[in-house]
Amino acid sequence: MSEPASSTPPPGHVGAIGPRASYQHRVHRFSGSERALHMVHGSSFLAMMATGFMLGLPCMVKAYGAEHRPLVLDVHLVIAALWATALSLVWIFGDRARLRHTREQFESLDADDLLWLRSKAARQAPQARFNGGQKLHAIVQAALTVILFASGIALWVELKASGFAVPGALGVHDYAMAVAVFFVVGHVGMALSPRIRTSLPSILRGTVPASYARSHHADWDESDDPREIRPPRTAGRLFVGAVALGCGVVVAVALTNV
Amino acid sequence: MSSSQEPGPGAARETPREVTLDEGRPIGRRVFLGTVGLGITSLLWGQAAIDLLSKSTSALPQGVRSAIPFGQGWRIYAVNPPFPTFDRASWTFTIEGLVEKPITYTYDQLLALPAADQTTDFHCVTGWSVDDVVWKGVRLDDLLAEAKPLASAKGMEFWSMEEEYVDTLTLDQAAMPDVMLAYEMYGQPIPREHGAPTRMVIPKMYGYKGTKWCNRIKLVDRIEDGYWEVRGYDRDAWVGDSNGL
Repeated sequence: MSEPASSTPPPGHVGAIGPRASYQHRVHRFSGSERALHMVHGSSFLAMMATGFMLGLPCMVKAYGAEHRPLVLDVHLVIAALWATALSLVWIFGDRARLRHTREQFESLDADDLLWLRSKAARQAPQARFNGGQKLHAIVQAALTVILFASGIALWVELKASGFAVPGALGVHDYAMAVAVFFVVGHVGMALSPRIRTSLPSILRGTVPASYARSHHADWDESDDPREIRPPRTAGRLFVGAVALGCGVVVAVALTNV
Repeated sequence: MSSSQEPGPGAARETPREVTLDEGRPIGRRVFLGTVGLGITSLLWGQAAIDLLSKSTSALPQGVRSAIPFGQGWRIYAVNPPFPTFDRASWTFTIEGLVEKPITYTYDQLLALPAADQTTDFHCVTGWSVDDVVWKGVRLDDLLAEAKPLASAKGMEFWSMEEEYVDTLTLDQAAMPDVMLAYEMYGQPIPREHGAPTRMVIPKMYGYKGTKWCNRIKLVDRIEDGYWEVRGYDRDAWVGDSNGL
């Protein structure tokens, strides 16, 4: 933790977070790049889900008028292109070393993570910065995003190129989305649950109360998670980012007009 | 991640750790790669797996099958659920409007008309398709032979037992060789959710033109928009060449 200690911790509350942490004190949990990634992915996912339902459910087609369905399809495709572009921009402009560090944390599950996942009763098992459920959710969402993009591209090519067909594409797209929605509902449900609601603003502000970190992430040594590992250098990245954004817009326009 | 046995600087554990932690295994990476591999390759084998699973459920009651999300690739839509019911003893099929002789068939009389078989693909405007659907039914020429359309007739309306639902074809469209009023599907009477006892089959057009639970044809001199056309879909619903597709 880079911030100076501000108060003395209450007796008996000293864990991996360290003695500097107190109830009043906040510890840094999410970097700006992580929060941007979460925001981009979450908002894009919800927009894709909404437009996907509007495309696939006849009751919704009926509600907004079938003559607008081609427009909804265009919006769905544009959001997909902008989603990919925005993820690229976060990667280009963000603290890639920190994002890699976070990815490594997601990829590695220890005994306490598995214990957390195995049994609700065992959720007292000390967790690091992410608990087992958050890790599993991040991993599955990342995998499903790849699958949704791949099957979506197959569907788009099928739509535009007569004679080309991937019979399983729509089924894969829909089943992947159904699984993703299932996980998102669980993720949001747990985030809103009274037990951990305290930490909800951390995904916007980046910090959590030290007391929360100590009770829910007792195995987290925040000195392992410096706020910035490699601050982004702007000059070259601005150029690359502008090119990426331009490419995204071009792809979005092309998707809707081809 | 911090799975170290060593506490952070200055930290002290409240209680000794009873669980021996390992350093963490790359299970997450394996889950990610496994899920992606499964998902991407399923673009190739997914449909075959769904078909196989679907066949394996053929012994189950229809009600159970329709609740299983791999029911032969079909997605069942209705505009006014629950689905209409079919009573063989009282059900009738009527041909009326601009015809010389309005006529009403019972179910058994309909089955006695010259029958035709075909295997055709079904396409929904929302993007899904079912290949090789086996239908048996009556061609419209045979169905209309006794009623005899008048020269003033320009098209026909197909009315459903499901209230509000109607769709239309011009006479030329209705004369396409693969258009039929079907009463069997995959060698069995058409299941309730697919339009029992009779539904229109128009393979060259999207599925919304194929009125389910169809029990009335009306010959008309002017084509009006059908249920979905009023709500924005194209009247001429050619597969791959309508509705902005």
